[in-house]
Amino acid sequence: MTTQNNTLHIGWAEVDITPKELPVFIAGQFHARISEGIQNPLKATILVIESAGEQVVFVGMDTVSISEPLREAIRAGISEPGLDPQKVIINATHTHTAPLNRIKAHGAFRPWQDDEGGFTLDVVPAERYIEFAAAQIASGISEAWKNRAPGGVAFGQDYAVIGRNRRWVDHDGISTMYNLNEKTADRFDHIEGYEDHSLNLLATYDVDKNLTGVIVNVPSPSQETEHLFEISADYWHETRGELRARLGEKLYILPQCSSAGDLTPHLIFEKAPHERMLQLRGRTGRQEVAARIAECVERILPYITSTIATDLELKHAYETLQLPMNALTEEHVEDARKNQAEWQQKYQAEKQKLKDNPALKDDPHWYVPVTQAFSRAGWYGGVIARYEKQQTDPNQPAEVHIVRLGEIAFATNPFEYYLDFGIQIKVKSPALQTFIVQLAGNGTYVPSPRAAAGGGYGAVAASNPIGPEGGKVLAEYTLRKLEELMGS
Amino acid sequence: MTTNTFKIGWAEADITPAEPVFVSGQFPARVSEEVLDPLKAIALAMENGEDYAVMVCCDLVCISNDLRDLVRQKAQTAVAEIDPLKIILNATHTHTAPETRPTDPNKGGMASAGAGVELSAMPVIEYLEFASTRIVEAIAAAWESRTPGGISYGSGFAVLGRNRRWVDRDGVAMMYGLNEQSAERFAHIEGYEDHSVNLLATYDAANNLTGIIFNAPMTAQETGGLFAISADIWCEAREELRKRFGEKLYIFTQVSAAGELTPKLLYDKATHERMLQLKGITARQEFANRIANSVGEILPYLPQAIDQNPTFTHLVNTVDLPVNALSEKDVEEAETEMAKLKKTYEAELQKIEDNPSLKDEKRWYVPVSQAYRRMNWYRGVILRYEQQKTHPTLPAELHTLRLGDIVFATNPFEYYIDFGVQIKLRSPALQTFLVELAGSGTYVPSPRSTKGGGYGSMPASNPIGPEGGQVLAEKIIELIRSLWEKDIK
Repeated sequence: MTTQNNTLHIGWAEVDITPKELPVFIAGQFHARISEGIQNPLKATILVIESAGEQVVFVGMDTVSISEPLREAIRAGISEPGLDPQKVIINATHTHTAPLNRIKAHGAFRPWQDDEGGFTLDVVPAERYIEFAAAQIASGISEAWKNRAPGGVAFGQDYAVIGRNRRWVDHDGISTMYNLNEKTADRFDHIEGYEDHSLNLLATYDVDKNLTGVIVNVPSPSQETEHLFEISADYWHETRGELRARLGEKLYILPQCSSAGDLTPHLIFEKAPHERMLQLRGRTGRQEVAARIAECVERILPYITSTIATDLELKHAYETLQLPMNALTEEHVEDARKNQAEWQQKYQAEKQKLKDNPALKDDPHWYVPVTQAFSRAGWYGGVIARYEKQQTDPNQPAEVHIVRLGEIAFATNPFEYYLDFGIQIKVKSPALQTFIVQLAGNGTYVPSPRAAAGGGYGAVAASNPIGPEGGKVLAEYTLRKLEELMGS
Repeated sequence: MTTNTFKIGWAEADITPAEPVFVSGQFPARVSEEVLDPLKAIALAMENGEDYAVMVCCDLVCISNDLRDLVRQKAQTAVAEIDPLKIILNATHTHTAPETRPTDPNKGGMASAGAGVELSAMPVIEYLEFASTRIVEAIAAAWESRTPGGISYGSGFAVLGRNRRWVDRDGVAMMYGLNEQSAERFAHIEGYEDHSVNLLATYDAANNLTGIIFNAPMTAQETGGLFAISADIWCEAREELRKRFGEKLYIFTQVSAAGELTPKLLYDKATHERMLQLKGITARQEFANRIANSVGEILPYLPQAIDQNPTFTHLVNTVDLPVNALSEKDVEEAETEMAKLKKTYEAELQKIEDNPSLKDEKRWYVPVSQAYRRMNWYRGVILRYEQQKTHPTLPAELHTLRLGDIVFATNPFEYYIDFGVQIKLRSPALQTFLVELAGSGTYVPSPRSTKGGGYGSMPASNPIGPEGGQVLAEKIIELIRSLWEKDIK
């Protein structure tokens, strides 16, 4: 079935990607976390849109990021005739409580037998989770593809305060992530960047104009309870529940995270009144986010049904860009070596502690300090490795998709893309609404120039394989492509 | 049993002018051509037997010293038992209300020197006379109606005030003016936005809701360019709130630190307009809905926390803030601009003299008054340069009120948000209700904004600069902390 006119064909599916083989490493913090249970299920939601032979497949996945092996395994599992695996866009919600899906990365813990016999961490390898999740998602894509049927879409925008800027600058211009407390507050000068509270919504309908699903695009990663040792979709679990309670149990919900490299749901000031309000409302932080998203969606939906379009132009361009890497200097390397050596020393010391006092392992999280040291050393090691790489190859690939759907557009990137770049794209985009989709790939932070000037986690050499220059190239490419697709 | 000594009184007065007035808030002079909706002054009296305050929120662009002093002077007679210094006035910053700064050609600044041409409108001093009488009536009514009651408070979020300043790739900042051409140069929005809502609700002795203080970093200037009288967003917001929470609800507005925030969007404007069209509402109604939604998300949870006997202390201080130290270069630049504007002003005057029928056109006075008032705005720089030689500080009246675990902290300025966040962060209060424009304004810019310059962050905009702004923040924090000293010890 290939449509010849602009009639939209839409298909949805949702698959469960909660790991069945346990325990797994949970991804998202420096230290290792071995899953101790399932708090709530992980999902991948798939939306296929087809028009005049063009297609896009969106996959919103409860995971911290989309590693290349995972993305490729998903694409390799697609065998539907007429479906181009390259047109599949997979984005992460950035929940910090989902299984590791990286095979090789700094601090990518593997079932781990320390060479010197210091300790063993026995988990199901990431490869097995990748295999399982990829198969589930590929089957979901197949289902959504087969289900596609004529339907319509409508879009709108409103506001919900969710993602908050987590970086602050002191009176000397030094930036810090979090850690704004009674002691540090006297040095506080300002919140470094901006916040974006827009919520972009795409709703889909069947031929009878019944609502079938929504893409909810918010500039906030799903990391309200990011430190748990349990599997969880974080606030998207409550959000899906809340949206379905209000709009129908069969509603498909596809989360996208707009540019939010420096945003999280955590507050860095006014925390006490927030906590008090949660107590008064009898809600958790995650439920609060869910309520805000659901209320926002409900403020939009009634007004866009009059605009449901069943015939729209769909254009989908994708490219693997070669972005200039963050140009590292010998000074960066020297600094990294020093830090790496310090963490390696700590790693050895932690191992020694465990050897000297095996009873430490009675603590269920005994492995946290030792893996934290290992991972931090690896993080700095990444700087050295990148410095060596840039001598011969100063670029890094980044897969980018630009999708036009009538008057709106989707622009993906694989990163945790600082908000200033996102606003640049939104300011200059010719689309009526621009759904930026970050973490349609492996991450990590691409800092704004002002963030890099202040430094701190998320805006230092070790955090940034791509620096502000690469970020600018990406924004400019995205805008060029948006112009191209939205033109005519 | 504890005796309930905490008493609350509310009153509301109409301060809508009965005849055409000078409308305050833009560079060109505006004479009001109609009354779109009424202007209000809302008075809230609170006392606990040991201390008290009467707060008055006015639908005005700012509270001129003349208005404040006249109100206090009249209050001394009308309500003799109130210390006039315990009266706090703050403005919603509607840009469609009468001017309250009397015309004085000897003063610099945008508004004080008049329009530069003869215009037929109620003289400012007449409006001051009228408004001050009405405001004092409200103060007296609130004071006399105070009865035992309680308070409860909460916080939430609403996207209202948006940052209107952006920085280009060369670090140059601008207010508004972000369009297809200029967008190519856009680097980032200069500062932050604060979408927190602080709410205080008052209840009678039977725990019935009587009124609210709605505190958010948003100025009421959605339709700030009109040649009309209007409370702007607060017209619709009051209606919406009363529709949802009771027709007799008193609604008191406070603007938190929002020097560079307005309800105007810098980007996503087409999307915003489209949503308004789809909803079939005006932007003012949209903001009213957001305000009412946020109140609706807080209020239901407050009755469980009503305090009938909160701690109450009111500090009144006047601090001397260092003025924005102007240089000879600043003066030279101001002189250059003044000279250009003087030429424009004279040319506009000449046009009118040559062709008096121009005066038959509606708003004929806009170009000439725009040039004249801009010229005086720059003249202010020169006058301030002279003043700073002998007077290196400017006084600022501050009120700091502790009410249970929360605090109200006022300042007379349009205080940039970075300072507001500093105070909120370092305040020991559970919620800090900052109240800007409890005085005559104007902008007190953040250090990062003066680096970029532009309207709001340049010598002509800033009698007090970032240094004075920091001194002010430290002073406010010190005052708030002094009210928590016992708790900290």
